[in-house]
Amino acid sequence: MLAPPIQKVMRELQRLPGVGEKTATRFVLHLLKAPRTEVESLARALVELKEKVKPCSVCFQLTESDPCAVCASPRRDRSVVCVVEDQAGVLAIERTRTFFGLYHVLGGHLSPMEGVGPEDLRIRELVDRIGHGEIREVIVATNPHVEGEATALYLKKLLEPLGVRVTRIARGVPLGGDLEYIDALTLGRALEGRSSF
Amino acid sequence: MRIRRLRVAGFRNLGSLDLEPEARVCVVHGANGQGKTNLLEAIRFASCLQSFRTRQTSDLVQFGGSGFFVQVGVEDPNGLRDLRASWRAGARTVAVDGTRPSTIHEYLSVLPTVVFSPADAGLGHGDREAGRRYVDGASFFHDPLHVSRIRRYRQTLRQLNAALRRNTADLAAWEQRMAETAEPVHQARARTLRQIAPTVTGLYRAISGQGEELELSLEAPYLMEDEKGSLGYREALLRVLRARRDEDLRRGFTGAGPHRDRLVLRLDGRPLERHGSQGQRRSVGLALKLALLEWGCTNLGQPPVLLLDDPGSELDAERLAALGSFVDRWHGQVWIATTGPDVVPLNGDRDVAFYRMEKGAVHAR
Repeated sequence: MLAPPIQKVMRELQRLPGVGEKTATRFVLHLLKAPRTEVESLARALVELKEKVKPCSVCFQLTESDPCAVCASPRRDRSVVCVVEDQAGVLAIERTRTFFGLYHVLGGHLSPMEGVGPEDLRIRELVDRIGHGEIREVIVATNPHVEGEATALYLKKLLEPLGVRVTRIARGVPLGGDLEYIDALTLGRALEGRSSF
Repeated sequence: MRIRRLRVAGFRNLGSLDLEPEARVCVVHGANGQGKTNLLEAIRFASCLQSFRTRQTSDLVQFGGSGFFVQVGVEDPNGLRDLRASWRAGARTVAVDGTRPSTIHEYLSVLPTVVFSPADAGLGHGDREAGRRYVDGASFFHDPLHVSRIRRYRQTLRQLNAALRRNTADLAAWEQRMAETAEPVHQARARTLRQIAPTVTGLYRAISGQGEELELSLEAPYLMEDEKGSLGYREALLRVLRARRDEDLRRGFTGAGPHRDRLVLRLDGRPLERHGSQGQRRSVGLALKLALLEWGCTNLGQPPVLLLDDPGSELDAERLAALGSFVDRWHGQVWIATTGPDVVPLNGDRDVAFYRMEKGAVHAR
């Protein structure tokens, strides 16, 4: 039987994604062995995280300063906005180091089954941003699954009448690979979505 | 391909089984309720992770048990493959050659099977669901990606229906997405049916011994008559979805789309489901299934395993003889579940093994 304080921390840890009983036990035992300063520093960092990190009031990505570093940067192209579902989308696009425009984080995708409609995403805020007149192109980078594609279609219908160019990220074969090693699903969809060159 | 090993545990009434079948034709016989069909069902589950008798995987668990396990050793030209599927506490685990496959069609491609069971009588009787399942099964043999096409389409249909129930502002986007995901499904089905039709009609003539002309077609009764030809399928479906939106909003689901596709069978121009005799319908049902087997063989480069569940209940002596001579000529593996060991008359084929089934246990003879 574990001591109640151990059980308490384990319960808290198990709320985290991907953490089950075993991982939680490992974390707790590690924390018990660690020096007090390390544990205090972790606890402080967690509280600080909650206090300091907020969504950017312009693009809604997570940031300490408002507006965020991307929105505030003078080197970013303000005429192009990349629309992503969540923070992970921003990180993925940033890793490419090929996009120099701004972002807009929707906060999810359309899913009538889960009761998520356009009013539950930050779509009105996107329309407002476009209304300021600087944006000329919106790149829709929602995930390529059923819901992400429907969200992209919805945005296209909604935004095009506002006079902006609406584009969708392409999907296809990864670079540097041989066709014979690409899984059939990816290759099949790449064929369906082929383009002239 | 042939099944060279079959291990089953916790499946319906079957005890722990470990068979090493060596014959091309395996006849599983025994009185009713002993587990013959369950054995075929276990093979089918290992093959395509679905039963041909129920949609609920939990139904397959032994009474009082908590899960089941099926393992099949499959011999194909590349050697011996190993499929494992287990189900426990509502979760399914699968492995191909000991490792988890990265996509599900990697698993599904290893052991293709064709089932002929009493439930297939519905094919000749105009059972719409059975007709679509048939065409999808054939499409899968031609192109394993058909599975992901159907998944994408079904998920979109569920979302569209949810949007209809809530009347959400994004309804138009879901309608368009529906038309986009529906088109590849419908087109693949139509293409498959055009290609498989000559085989079906040839087999029908051989089984029935009659000269009637059998025609197969895939119809989309939900499309508007005047727009079928002039527009592409996608555009035609999109127009229908928009036109019937008010009606669909009232009902809370849509009645247009590939879930309403219809496999229509006609004999000499007359719909089989209304004008066919019992015997004609059974012959058509059998011809469809055997054609699927040949079609699978052509597309996969090797014959799928044929599972015949209680053919004696569905076919008369004449058709059983036709089936027997087909099995004799066929080169792929066949599993037959029957009450008596000689219900399907097999002539001259010595490569046959008999298994007697009693209370879920198998006795080799």
